[in-house]
Amino acid sequence: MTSRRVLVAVAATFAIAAACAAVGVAIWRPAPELPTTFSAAGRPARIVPDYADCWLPPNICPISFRIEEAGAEYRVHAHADACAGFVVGSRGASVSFPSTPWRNLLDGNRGGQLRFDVYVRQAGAGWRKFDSIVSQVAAEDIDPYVAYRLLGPIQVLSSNMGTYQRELSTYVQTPILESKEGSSRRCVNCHTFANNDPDSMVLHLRGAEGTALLVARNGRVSKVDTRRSEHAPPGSYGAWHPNAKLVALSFSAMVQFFHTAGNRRDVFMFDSDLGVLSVESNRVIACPAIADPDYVETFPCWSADGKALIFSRTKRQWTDRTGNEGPVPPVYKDVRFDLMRIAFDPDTCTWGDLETVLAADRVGLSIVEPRVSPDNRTALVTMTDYGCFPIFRDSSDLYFVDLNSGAYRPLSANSPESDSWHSWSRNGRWIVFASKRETGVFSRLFFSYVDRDGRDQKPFPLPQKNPDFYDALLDNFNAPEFAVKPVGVNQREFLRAIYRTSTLPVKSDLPDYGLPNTAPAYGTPGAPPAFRME
Amino acid sequence: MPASRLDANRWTLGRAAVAAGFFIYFFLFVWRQVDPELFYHGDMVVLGPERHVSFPVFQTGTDFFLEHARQPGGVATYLASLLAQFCYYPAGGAAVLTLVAMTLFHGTLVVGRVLSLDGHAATAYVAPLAILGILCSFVLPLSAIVSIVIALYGVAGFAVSARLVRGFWPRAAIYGAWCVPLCWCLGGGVLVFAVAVSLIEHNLRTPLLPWVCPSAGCGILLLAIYVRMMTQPDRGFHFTWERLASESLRAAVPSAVYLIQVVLMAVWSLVVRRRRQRLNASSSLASGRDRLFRGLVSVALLCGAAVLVSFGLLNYEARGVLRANCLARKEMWAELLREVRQNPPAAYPPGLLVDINRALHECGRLGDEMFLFPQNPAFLIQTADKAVPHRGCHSLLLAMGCLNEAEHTIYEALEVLGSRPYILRDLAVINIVKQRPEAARVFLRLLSRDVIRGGWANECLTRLDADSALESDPLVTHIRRFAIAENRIAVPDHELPELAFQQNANNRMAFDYMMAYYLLTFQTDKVLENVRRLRDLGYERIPEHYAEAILLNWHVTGQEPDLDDWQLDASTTDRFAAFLELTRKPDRDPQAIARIVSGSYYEYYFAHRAPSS
Repeated sequence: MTSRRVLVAVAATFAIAAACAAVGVAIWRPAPELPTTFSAAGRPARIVPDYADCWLPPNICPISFRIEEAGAEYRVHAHADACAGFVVGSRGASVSFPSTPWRNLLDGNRGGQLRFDVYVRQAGAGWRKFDSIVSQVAAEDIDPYVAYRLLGPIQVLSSNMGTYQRELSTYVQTPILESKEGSSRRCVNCHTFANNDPDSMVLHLRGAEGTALLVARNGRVSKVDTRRSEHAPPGSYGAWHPNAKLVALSFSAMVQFFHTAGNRRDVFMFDSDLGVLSVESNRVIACPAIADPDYVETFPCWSADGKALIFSRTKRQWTDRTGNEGPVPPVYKDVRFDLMRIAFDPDTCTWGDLETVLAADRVGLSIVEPRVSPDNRTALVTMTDYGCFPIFRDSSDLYFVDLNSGAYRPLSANSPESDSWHSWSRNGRWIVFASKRETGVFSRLFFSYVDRDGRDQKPFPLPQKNPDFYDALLDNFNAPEFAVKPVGVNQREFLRAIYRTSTLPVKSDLPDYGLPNTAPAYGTPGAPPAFRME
Repeated sequence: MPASRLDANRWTLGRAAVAAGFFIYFFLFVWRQVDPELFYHGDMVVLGPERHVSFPVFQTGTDFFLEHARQPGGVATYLASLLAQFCYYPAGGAAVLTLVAMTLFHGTLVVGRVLSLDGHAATAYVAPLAILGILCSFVLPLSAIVSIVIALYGVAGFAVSARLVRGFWPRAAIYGAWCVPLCWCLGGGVLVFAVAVSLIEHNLRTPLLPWVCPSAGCGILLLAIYVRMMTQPDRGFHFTWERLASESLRAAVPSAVYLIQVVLMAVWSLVVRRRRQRLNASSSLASGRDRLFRGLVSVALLCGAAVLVSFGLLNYEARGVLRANCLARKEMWAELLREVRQNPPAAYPPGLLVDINRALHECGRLGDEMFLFPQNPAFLIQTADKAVPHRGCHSLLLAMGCLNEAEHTIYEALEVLGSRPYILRDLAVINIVKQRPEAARVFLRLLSRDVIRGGWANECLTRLDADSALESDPLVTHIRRFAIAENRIAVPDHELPELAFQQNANNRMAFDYMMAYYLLTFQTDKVLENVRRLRDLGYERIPEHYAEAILLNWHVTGQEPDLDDWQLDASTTDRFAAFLELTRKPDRDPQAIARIVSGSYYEYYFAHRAPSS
């Protein structure tokens, strides 16, 4: 028995020692070295995602990519003119970079070039060195956070979605508000921050718990019913005034419908008005010019100085405003929105003249989702062949519109697939948008640098630790919003507001035209039907 | 106890032979009568009120494993999902299920030995018999069984590791070292471990531990479920002790059911011991003949129980529905029709009707025999969320050329049911047809992690690399040929076949379903109007139900139909004449009428038509 104990003790000791050695080897591997002999490939290596010619923010997390060259071993030397950089090695084609050396490399080379030298060794052969992949490090930081919706390719039923925030200097993603099992399948959307600061934010909520606007200010969340009457639509697309006391909202009656050919999904906006919610007095301020029954007004956005409201508007060419006379008016494919502007005095809350910034007839496209740059000179908009839901249209592209002259030009970052849902960083140098460019089906987030001359640069996707992350991901990234800090309210606070807080009714000055709330019901998934069918 | 070593060997061989015989029977019954393939293909099949089959998904890779490992009981569920995939192969699935039952049996024997129970070899058959009974009801509780099996071997592991240790604290520490990871891996199955260990400690007369073990086990399980609830935001927010208790009870049910067997084993052990004591007291030893007699009686009882459980509990109704579903999923349409004719179910779930109509069309019999089965226009063709429970719907839409509707329906199914392999496969096909190879690759890469369909997905990925449009694929070519190209919006489901037929006059499936809809909605004039298209679609005669509809239309309108060179069968017209004759009689004989119209369009027409028509 004693010898057995000794045997067990010795075996356990060996096992522990082997485990420690393995851990040690894994952690304290010597850094790989660059090959000293190699042949020149004569071209840059193909990498996915493609970071060649991209501008990277100096505070972005380490990128990763997959080298699309056959080989048994890979080395990548990341370096800059002013910095020797570092080398990473891998037996697989996926390469990721260590955080600290990466941060040092970017921080020490603001405004300079970044080079990636790729070496590939094929089995039984020597090393090949590919031409450098050159990127640019921007001088300006990007906002440290981006918030977005993450949801599957839902159509009508939804069981799993949420609004999340991602720290851009790391890979950490945290939920702001999730809708998962046990949540009665609510839809959360239209998260908006005041001046990119989530200390003031709104989040639209729709589901079995009802329809409401969650308003989070300085750590407290309230639930507000913005509807002007019981059956009226609630305020959804929101935009905070720079003073963080007013939120422009779109009160829209929309339905989703489906095509038998081509782009399958579509949305029609039967009617919509704009109103401005005062979060302090809990009142929706109306203005006839932006709540005209003969027009459909939506997608509000304040100018950077808060002295104007920019929005999209189209003349209502149909009589049915409720959706009761038929599914969708046949003129749906002729509906195009103009880009409008109305002056506003934030001190007196009075409105000025309404003017057209850019007419849809001039461009032949529908102009929606305006976002004004922080320097107040440019509006970044989405233009699409018709309608108000560009993410469903392949034709959607991003455009810059000069707010003074009305001149417009497409971004070079556009793709043949849908590009939409965008946001400016606070310093006005970065934009983020949702694009289906890679697959035509799944939207991912892309970042692009906008230089001082207003030129956008080649976009790059939201970096992930694993370069294969998007390869088998069925989720869509949607509605990105930059933020200068993390959301200060945790999910529990939002849930407390949803479940435990009574909804504050809002006094609305909007006239009640009898608009219906035609938002699609996000109900429980279809259960198997009753058994008997005799 | 056998008197000699030879007797002991014979006794052991005898028991091994009985066990082998039992599990061979188990395997053969599960393979030939239950048919594990029915489980594999039976996902979402409705078997009763509030009851449907849910077959687990399994994907290779660390993501899927970590998704499970993060939850209590997730490891057992992960293993069970992996084992369940073998049900794709009837014999393989039966072998795996038999192996699981054998490990449960062996684990029970081991625990019985550890607990020093007498006669446990006999009572150990209760668990595999219970599994057989459950499988006969077409329930696949693999996750619960796997967790109990692991718990049983955990008991053995504890017994070995704690064998040299004495005292409360050292043994409690070893118990904790086993219990905590087992709880996280097994979930409710840890209760089997906790109770069995407490019995071990009771036998060893360790102070306090017999009480500490089950209490600690329950406490750790509660804590694990609490942690899981709190990590789900809404569940955590709505946390109440009642909810925690109810979830814990639900997790503990399989263990509680198994522990009944442990109680049975303990009671039987007491009975055996008392009998031995009585025998010893009377100084009479059982003769070899007595032992043989008792052995034969035990075997006979076991055989009887096995036959009773298996054939007595086999749910023939459910098996019929699942068989039909399985044949539909394998596109064995003629066999499906044969199955439902030979074994008609008492009631037809809507999903089965969708498959039957599809089978009738594929066999060229939809226009002749659809009214041999109960029909409802609402279930002829369905899309979107309504169609999610019926697996045949989206493949029907796809085959008919309703590409966008099929895509919509499958996306709804994806959201509701998750990444089932058949959903991923169809979405990949749709995106290939729509010339979106990159989107197809996303679905295929995910599908490549499936152990059964992964090979097909990898092959497809390779083919896409060579030809991103897959022009040479017959399914893709077929769908592209018939895909609706005209853009219309908000088309009602029942108009889709008509739209598809307008797109392509060679779309025989669209024609068949269009005509079926006309029949179901009493539009006999439309049936007559479309008879002229039959020849272009390769028909050699007017299908029976169309002829019946034409005769009805003639009778109702009084206008002789223009059949465009077609002739009505004499048997059809005679039957209609006989039917009219019978209905005109003042003393109608319902049975005679029923005999005439059974399985005909007339039966449906007069049973369901609106009074005005």
